[in-house]
Amino acid sequence: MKNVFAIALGILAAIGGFVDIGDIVFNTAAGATFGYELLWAVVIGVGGIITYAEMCGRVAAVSERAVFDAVRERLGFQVGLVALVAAQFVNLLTIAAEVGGVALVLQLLSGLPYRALLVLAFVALALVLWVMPFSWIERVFGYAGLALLVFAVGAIKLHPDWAQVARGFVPRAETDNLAVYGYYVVGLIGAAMIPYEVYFYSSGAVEERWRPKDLGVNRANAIVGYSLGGILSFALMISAGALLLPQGISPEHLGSVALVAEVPVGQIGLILALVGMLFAISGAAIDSAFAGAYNLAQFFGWEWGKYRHNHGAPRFTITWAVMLLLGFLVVMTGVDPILVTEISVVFSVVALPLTYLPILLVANDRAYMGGYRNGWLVNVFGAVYLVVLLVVAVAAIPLLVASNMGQG
Amino acid sequence: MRAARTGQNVPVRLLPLLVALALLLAGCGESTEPKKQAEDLGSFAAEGALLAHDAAAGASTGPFTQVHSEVLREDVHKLEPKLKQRRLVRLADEISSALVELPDQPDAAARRLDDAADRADELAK
Repeated sequence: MKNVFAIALGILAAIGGFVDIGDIVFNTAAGATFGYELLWAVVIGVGGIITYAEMCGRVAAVSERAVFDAVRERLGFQVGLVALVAAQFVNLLTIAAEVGGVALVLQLLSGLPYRALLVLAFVALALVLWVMPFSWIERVFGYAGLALLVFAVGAIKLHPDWAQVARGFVPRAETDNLAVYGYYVVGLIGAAMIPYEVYFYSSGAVEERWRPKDLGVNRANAIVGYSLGGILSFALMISAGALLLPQGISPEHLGSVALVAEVPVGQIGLILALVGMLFAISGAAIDSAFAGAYNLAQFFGWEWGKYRHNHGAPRFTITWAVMLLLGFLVVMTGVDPILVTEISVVFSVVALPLTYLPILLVANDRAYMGGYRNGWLVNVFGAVYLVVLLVVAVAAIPLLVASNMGQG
Repeated sequence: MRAARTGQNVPVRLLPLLVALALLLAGCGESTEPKKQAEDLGSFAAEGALLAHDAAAGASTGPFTQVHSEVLREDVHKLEPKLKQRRLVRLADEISSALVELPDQPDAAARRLDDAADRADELAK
């Protein structure tokens, strides 16, 4: 019974923790631009993160090693270093976007000046990272992020054409502007499979000392948690498609996203949407700051882990603090966090194969995994997704240029 | 050996350049064609109207209404210097003024913004 409860709690945290600022921005913008036509791209992205999160959770539980351990070992120092620099660069952009996003949501809640709230967001996030135990971080932000389910209620109350919604799960491109369509496909897949999620997930499995007996929890978290988390993405896109597209509104701010919940659900909908976004984006800021520290520490073989406490792994602690500070300084320059979000998602797509290939290799390694290595079905999914990721990685920058960052 | 090392470092060195290019592109993403400008103004007006209707119905909160109407007004201001047609300039002024009025008189602002959104639709045709 206790185990079932633990699995349920993990799933709830995975649902609430699934969405970050990249998902919020891309799903809403895609819905406002193409209606429900791109729901299939979310399915692809969610399928990819399930496949690889399950894999790297299993690797962590069996081998007690996280992703960048494997990257260093399987890709060698030099190529691994390129992967590390690319990952850290994308992580930094992600942290900047999330810290800016936290301040924007706080501003929508309080009406206070943005720059003062940026400072508040930075200090609050640093305090949480410093003080809160790992399991608390995961749970608190995951559970509070569940407030985003208000978008699912909103989507239903907006009475979308469900037949059209169903058609959205079948890939088709009925548009004159294929570059913009392709840009959103890349963005949606990239937002769902953003690399920090698997860095954090696998390192978290080591933090929580998963062992082979925890593989059931891993499978449940990855499959059920991320699938249900995908519902939040669907809800955002369907709501935007039902409300914003018919009125010709192109959402360019987090306030526009909150409006999508306010119109059908009212003031309580607005407050739940803002609180949900606050915790989901704050959680993602914390995850990505930790992911940056995990990567560097694992690559160079430093002591790492929140379970060692801040003084027990000083270089790890300094790294997350520096990453958070750099992200904060980026948004303090005045750059728009939404713009940083779009760029971070597109550039993360370029780094995706470097993240996921080593996971696939290690998950098939008999020496690491013994009897727990990938079965044929997981390998088929893993290989297909790797091809998909290579294609989107190659297409990402040309599509960003050709679509004028989705502006057409 | 040296060439190989240089080759592997290229993607890393290119990252800041690519980001700079992306930021530049974002700056170039502003609309210059009258049709696109009318569509953008229509988007701001329609979004402002949604906000105003909710504020009038008591379905919003004070800080949200204040902050989001200001953000939309900044969007209009950013577009204004690029507007070449007098009709679009007048429309932008009307939307901007209605957005200023929105937090205090949401009913009146909603009517003005609905009207502005309709006019923007006409101009975008």
